[in-house]
Amino acid sequence: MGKGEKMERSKIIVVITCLALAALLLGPSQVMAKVSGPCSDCHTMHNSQNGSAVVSGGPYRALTKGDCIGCHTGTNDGSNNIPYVLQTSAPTYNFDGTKATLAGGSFYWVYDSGGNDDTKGHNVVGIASSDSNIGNTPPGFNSTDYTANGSVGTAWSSNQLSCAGTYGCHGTHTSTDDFAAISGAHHADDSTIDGSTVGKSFRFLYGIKGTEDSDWEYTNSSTDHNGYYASDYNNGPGSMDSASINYLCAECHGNFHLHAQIDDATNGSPWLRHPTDYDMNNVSSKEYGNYPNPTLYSNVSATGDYFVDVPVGNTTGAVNSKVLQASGDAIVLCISCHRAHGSPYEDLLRWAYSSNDSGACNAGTQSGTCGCFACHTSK
Amino acid sequence: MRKKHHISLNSIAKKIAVITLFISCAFSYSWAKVTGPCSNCHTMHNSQNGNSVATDSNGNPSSTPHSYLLTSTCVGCHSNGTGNITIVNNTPIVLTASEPTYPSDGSPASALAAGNFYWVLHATANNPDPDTSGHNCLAIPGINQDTHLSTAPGKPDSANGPNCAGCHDRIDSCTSCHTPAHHADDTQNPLVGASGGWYRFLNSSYHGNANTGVKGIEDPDWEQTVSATDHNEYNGCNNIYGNDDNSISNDCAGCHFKFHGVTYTDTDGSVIADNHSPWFLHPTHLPLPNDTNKEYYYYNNPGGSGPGDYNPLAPVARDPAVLASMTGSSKLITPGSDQVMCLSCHRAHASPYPDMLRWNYPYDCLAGASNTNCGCFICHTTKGD
Repeated sequence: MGKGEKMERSKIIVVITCLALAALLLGPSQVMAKVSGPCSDCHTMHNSQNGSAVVSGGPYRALTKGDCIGCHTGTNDGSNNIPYVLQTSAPTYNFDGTKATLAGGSFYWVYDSGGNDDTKGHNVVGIASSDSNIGNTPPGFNSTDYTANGSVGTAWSSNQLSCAGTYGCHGTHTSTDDFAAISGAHHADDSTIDGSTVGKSFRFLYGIKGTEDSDWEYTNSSTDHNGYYASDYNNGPGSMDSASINYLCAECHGNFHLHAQIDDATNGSPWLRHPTDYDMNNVSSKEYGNYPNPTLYSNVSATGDYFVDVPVGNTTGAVNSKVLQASGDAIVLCISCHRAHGSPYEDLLRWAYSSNDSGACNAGTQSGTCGCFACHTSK
Repeated sequence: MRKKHHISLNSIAKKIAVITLFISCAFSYSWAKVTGPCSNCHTMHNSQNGNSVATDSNGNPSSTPHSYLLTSTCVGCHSNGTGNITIVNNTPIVLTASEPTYPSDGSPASALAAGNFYWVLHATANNPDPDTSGHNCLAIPGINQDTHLSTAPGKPDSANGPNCAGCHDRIDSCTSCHTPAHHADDTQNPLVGASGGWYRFLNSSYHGNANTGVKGIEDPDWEQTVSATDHNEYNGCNNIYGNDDNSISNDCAGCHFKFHGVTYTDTDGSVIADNHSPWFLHPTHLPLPNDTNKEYYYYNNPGGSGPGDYNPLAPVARDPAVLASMTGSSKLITPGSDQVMCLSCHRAHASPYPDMLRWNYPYDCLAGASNTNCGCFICHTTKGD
């Protein structure tokens, strides 16, 4: 039985087990990722209880009752104390509307047993098979310029994207084992997010700074959201900041961030590729100064309102309710347009963009279903 | 004719025997080697004045003689049928009629190091399911086969032969774990080994050898009184593979083999290497890391600058080379040398808590909530923060 099949068989039991943990872990006012509650909720010493295994498919490293996917699969309903990034049925998702997904979106739409669409999420091993369109190698992969937080692996021909580790996003890149990569993070004191350890990094993304929303943006508004740390690197360009959320993406998609790859000889517009780590305050006299185009969307009301569904970053990682107020507070992010885990739309986009998705973005027709117009307010 | 006084030798002998017994108790308290009148424990013919001398495990007269001409069974001698005093006539009591004190507070009713089978017989507020409190030794009247287990958890695959069930699927008798050696001389060396009948007589009665017998330093009162400086000293492992090495954990592994060592046999038969953190199973054979960056370095001293004192609630085993040179119990903890063992978390006979744990794990061990009642936090010193 292949690893994927084995994961599938054990997933239901693991999910049920982890769902039972949710109500017991943390409390409704939990503002840190540091876990609390009975140790026995998450751990089993010998994977044996009353003569039977505690968790089918186990044991799992760190004596846990499930792997990453097993514990982080479930339904987000506002009462859960574990963030769920995968659902077994399609979660509610409405751009600029109600959602049952968290800030990173959901793997449901790429999940082999769910949406099963390789274009709609990261193909993480154990969730989805290798991407049928692009294989394992991340588009824009740059193995040399993005190593400050540890080097991502280069043997993509024999390694698929994982939750954490050498070929993953979370944790360090020093181990291929998910558990080793995030070892200690769940119990770490993350009251200060400074990127110094995995536990003290934004969402366990080693080296990345930011402010973590307490319920992972299950509830969200202009005043209730993550604070993304970013830099104005591509203005000039300046110096890369390895603590930027964009840097994290660039560890795999570096050529979509590296200034030499996204800009021509004239710094700034016209761009060769869509900029990230670029402050819209640099071009606030242009259409971008009207962000978020408030007449178009429901969840914003005035120019400068932070728009959760088209987020921007800042140079402190603060949670700002208003942007374009000062230099460095309206920085374009990779995740201004994309969901990190998955979305209902092609290319993991936050909204329907391509003609393959209904309600696509059409130049000359301003539509509240298209997030491009939040920044490109005159298009 | 003057009437002869018929001296009752029997009555005089009895008085002398009692006095001798008390004397022997006063001077032989520190050792397992028995002393005192042979007749205290033995009967040649199980017959005296027309009556049986031997008693059964309930203390009732038994017309059936016992092996080794004993007057009682293991349970009969090592139980207190009337109260909760845990040392009676210099004999460690492992089964009391009423609940002993736990953890030990030094009182005569304190549970001894291995706990007390009382909890396997009685549901309590701490554990409504007595079967999970301890080993279901069927030699103890009232104890039946564990309702949850038909075999020892983690049983070695080799223990499926026709003669294995009595120890590996159930616990037929005390000799499933112990090989009694009451006359062995354990006075010659603080470290009790083969010549002393092994630490607490722990060696397989059926296939024990020179490497399976357990070594250790025996606390004189079986930890009825216990502290950082007054306790057993357990022998740790000399290999990471679970090979026989006279360690206490290896003894447990005789039945719970799959919970010991650096490999784990998965349910599909595949062997998984479990030789580094993050572990698949809780280690039972490794030293506390000698690394100031790891929480285990600060054993029993969370937030401190170094390890704290030995804590009997979560004891450690000693490196065999270190133990061999020890003359008694020590409060010192040495990261890199002192080892986690099965008994760091469990009581060998029974405890008041599920899974024979030394503390109330489901209720007292909450991540992020420091609690001195939770033994986990003695080693996992940051998890209570």
